[in-house]
Amino acid sequence: MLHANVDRLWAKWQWVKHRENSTNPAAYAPPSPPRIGHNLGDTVWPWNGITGKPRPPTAPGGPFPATVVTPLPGQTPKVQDMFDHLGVVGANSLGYAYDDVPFELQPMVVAAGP
Amino acid sequence: MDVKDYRKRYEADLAAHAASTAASLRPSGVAAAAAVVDATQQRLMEIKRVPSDRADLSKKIQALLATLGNEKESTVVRLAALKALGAATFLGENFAPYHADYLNTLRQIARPGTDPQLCEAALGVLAAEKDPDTQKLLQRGLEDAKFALVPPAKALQLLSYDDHANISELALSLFNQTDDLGVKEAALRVLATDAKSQDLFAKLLEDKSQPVSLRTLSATGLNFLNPQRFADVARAIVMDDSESEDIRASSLGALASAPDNRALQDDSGFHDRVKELGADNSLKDLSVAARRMIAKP
Repeated sequence: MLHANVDRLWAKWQWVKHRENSTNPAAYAPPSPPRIGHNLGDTVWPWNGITGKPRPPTAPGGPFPATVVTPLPGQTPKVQDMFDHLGVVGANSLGYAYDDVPFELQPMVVAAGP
Repeated sequence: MDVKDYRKRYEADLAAHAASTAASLRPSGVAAAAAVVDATQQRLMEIKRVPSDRADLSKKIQALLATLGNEKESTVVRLAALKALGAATFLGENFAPYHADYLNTLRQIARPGTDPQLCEAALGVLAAEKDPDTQKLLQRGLEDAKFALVPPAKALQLLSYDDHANISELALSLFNQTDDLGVKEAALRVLATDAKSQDLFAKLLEDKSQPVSLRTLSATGLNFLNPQRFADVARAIVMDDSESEDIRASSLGALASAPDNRALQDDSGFHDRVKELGADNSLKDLSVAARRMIAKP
């Protein structure tokens, strides 16, 4: 529940600031010093199956399970795959939503038109 | 939910909070010179302090429970104690011996005469615990307003924490009786878990005279309960040029995210219309939604 609430607060911040795009420098601060699992392109334990320091000694559960709801985030999710949970920037959502975080296109997308 | 309105209100809340924080940090001459620390602030800081030692932690939890239950304390201090106790519930076995006392204290607070803000906070915790007595209190307040401890929309939200609370009939009855849009919205959120609500959702979604928020909630509810039926209604809405653009864009967005939209992809009439919408410069969200639909593999 704690983790879900942290994710909700992040999602709300992203919505308020329009920071759903992982390539937007304002949406993400790289860790300093660099840490495995904290960089945009890092795969996420345990679904990547990688074990041993600095990761835990086992990786139970196998790859990330597929769902009929959405093709994302794939079998081996990366950190950058978790930014756009409602599909504001990409074509697909992550298949969940929060009551107080609405879907809203980014202003420049709406203003730019076709 | 009207997203633009919601954003405006939320941004105003953020601005007000930032202003109040800045004001509280600003040295106000005399206060800064005298270094007078407000007693309440000191109290709140003490409440927030987490002991590192297990024995101290035990004393701290007991003190917090006493503060929470003390009617002579100010609401702001009691709310801070409640917040600290909420955090302490994550301590697992260290908090377990106090869990029953915690709930009992909250039950004492969740009654008429308590400060409304504190009462609502206590009800929120108890409702999340699926406390049967609390559910009865909330239901009683919905059935007869003179027993209500919180506004009806809040009561419905708190009752909806328990999927097995069987409040669909009550929610439907409230939906039909009230003119309050907030209560109607809360009722529809509850009804979205009841398969018997499909007809109501389809009717509201098709009814152009209904407020956009109710139609959007109906779209979400129907899509959850019966995706195929939603797809049929949503297709008609997207094809209807006299519909509001918001509803058409939401419907198209939901259809684009449907797990199986092959039937629609084989629907050449629908597909051609979506292409036209995608190329229509005069449309905004609807045009964007159409292009996203076309881009789907």
